[in-house]
Amino acid sequence: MKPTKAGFLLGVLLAMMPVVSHGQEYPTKPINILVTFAAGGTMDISTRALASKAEKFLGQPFVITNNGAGGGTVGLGIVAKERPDGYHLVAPTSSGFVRIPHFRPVAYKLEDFVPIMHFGAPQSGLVIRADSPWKSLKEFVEYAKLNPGKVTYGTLGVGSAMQHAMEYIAKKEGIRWTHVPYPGSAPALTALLGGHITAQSGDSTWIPHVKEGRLRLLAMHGDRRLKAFPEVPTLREQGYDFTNETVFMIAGPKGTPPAVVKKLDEALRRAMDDPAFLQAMAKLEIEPSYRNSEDTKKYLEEAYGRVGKLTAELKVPRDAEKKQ
Amino acid sequence: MGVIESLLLGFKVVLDPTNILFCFIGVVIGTLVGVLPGIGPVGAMALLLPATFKASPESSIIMLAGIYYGAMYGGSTTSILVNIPGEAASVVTCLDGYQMARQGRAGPALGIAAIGSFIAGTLSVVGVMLVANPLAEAALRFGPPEYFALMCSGLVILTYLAQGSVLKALMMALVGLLLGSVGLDIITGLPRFTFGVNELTDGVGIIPLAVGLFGISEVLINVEKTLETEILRTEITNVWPSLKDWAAAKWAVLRGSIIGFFLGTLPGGGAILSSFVSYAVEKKISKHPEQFGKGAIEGVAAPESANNAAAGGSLIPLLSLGIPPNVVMAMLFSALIIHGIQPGPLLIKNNPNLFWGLVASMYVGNALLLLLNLPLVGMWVQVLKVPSRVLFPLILLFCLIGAYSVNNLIFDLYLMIFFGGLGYLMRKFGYEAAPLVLAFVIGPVLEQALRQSLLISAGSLLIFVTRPISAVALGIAFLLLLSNLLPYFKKYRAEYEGFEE
Repeated sequence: MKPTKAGFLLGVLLAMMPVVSHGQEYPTKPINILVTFAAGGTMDISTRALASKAEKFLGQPFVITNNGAGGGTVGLGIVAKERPDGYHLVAPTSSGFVRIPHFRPVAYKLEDFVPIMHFGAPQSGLVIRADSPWKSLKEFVEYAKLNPGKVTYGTLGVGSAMQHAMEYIAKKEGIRWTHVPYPGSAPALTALLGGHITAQSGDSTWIPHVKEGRLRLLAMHGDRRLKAFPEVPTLREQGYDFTNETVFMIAGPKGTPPAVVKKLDEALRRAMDDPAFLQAMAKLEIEPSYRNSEDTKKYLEEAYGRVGKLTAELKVPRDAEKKQ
Repeated sequence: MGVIESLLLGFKVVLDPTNILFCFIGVVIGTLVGVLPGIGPVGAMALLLPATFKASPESSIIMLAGIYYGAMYGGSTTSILVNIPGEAASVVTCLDGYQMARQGRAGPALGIAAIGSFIAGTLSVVGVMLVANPLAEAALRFGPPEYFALMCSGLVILTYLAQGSVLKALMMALVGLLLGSVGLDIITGLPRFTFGVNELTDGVGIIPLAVGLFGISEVLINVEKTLETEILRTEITNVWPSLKDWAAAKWAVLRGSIIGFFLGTLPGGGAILSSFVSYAVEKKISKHPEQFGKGAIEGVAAPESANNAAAGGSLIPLLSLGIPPNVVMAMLFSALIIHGIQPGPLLIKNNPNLFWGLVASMYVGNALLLLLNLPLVGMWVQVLKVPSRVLFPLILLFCLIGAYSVNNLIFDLYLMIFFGGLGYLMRKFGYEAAPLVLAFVIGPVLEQALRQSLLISAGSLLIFVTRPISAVALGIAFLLLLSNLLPYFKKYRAEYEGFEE
């Protein structure tokens, strides 16, 4: 119990500390990062790995807390209202900015934040059971064409990049398959392993099952092939103009001084070269991927437009119900 | 390698001084987070996860698992003493445990909870050891239709929980279902009943709900009484369960263990559900069902055994398939990944030290927990002697800290206070909280399973009867419902015949 109490008390004390940064150079006290996903998940672990390696460049520790409510939107809403002094940062995925606001109301806007950098790109792909007859995405699509509505696929949620990937293929090929949403990638994976759905479009939690020969990987959603399965092509290589653009990032509230942003950006970028960080990312199968503050902002703005266009074109998730 | 040799290997791993220390730390922390209301094993494991990066994988997993099953031991303590569930799986223990405490039998209640937990924990380790693989494959056969059928049975069981009016219990169940439907609709991805409050996107939290309905309302009820509460005046007769208690509870412990173990292997709220189910089963088959809710020792023994056995059972999908069935197991999953161990079907073959070390550590851990908890019983009972003007503010404080620590959200505190007020009114007017909590847990799973099933079957309801597991479970639900209704018909008929004469 001691660590829980200690952590809690530390948090209370930190919250009560007055701003004492006048005259001294930032940072003069520990920096808070609110991870907008539950502790123990990939986002949480990778942020902690990054922050712990950036501490030595800043001379101050990071204090990581978690709030996974509302797919990360609650945490973003909280940090949007924090003091922009560089001591209250947030670690969200880009989905909170470019994806979720397209289909449900959130308590913040992209303009409420200053992106500091992004440090990783989670990988996702399309898997089927290894005892399925289809050896490639092409064969799978052919089957779906001949059997409209027969193929069911699971994802971790409506409006996710994984659902968009599937519906993009469906639209381009003029096929119809059924989306079965699950409350996370583990339940969707379980359903596929149990044979309750035909396929799963999901994040890389399927890797061990593909390695052990229970599942077959048909396509990757990212820019590059996965190191573990170099023979499996990306969607783009197979003629579909779709990429899962999700990134793990760090941001501060709007008005965070540019000098502070620069300093944080630099420290975090340097932390990305640390072998321990790279090793953690490799274990989690997250591609290290970096953009600086300005480029991240531009990237998010453009991605917001692209996802919005796709949401409208595919009509996903707005009338997900009617499609069935 | 045979089971015995493997187990010996496991004991070799766990008897390493470092590992045994980690095991001890794990179960102690687990007991503490279990005792403190609101603070559950998930939070504690998350905080300690980074601390294990430097340790060996075996030590880390042994400790983290220890926190989980340790919490199941501790969870009953506050349920029994002050009617506040220490964690969600101990909600149902409040019903009879607290009544026992009011009759001066807090000692036997705590004692049977600890002994039951020990037996259930040990039995579930034997289960993990012997049937992990076939059981994990069987659990995979549970798809959406099977869940739907299972949850239907769960809803029927709800009617057994009613102590007073069945009608009022059903009304509370409806309220629970309604509360369970708050939050994102998983099929459309749109918020439901959130009234624009972003904090409600994920729905109402089980901790603010359960702690509010049971704990806060208990404090409010007690504020009305004069300072000298009846607990104080009641002599604490004996600290240990008597032979008579043991005779009454032994089958409940056994049945609870079996129910808990099997339900624990299924994804979702296995531990919570199993505690309710085992309680209902005991009440159903008991020769004196009228004593349930008034301090029946079986009502403590069964759910506490069930939630411990479920903790063991839930390890099976993780260790043999690499699928985390609940949030706690997801935390263990991350820990394995961080240590470079890939959870999955090959885990047992590739990392025998880890698997058998963990199994052996659970034998050791359960024994440690028993040694730790039995002497504590005497101490906990003393808590009841603390004057209420000191005890109740402290309880409130712990409830607040616990509810806040889940998500670091002030909103959760408002929620908890709201449910405290609601719980107070419910008690005043004779509405029970247990059916509400059970329906709240079952509702979202039921709805999701129903809608997923219909998506998969393209709208055909036949999917529920053409799949064998689902058909059998629905059949059982129907029979249970029937057996529950028959006495009413009989009564009706008897009255009618009475009129004729």
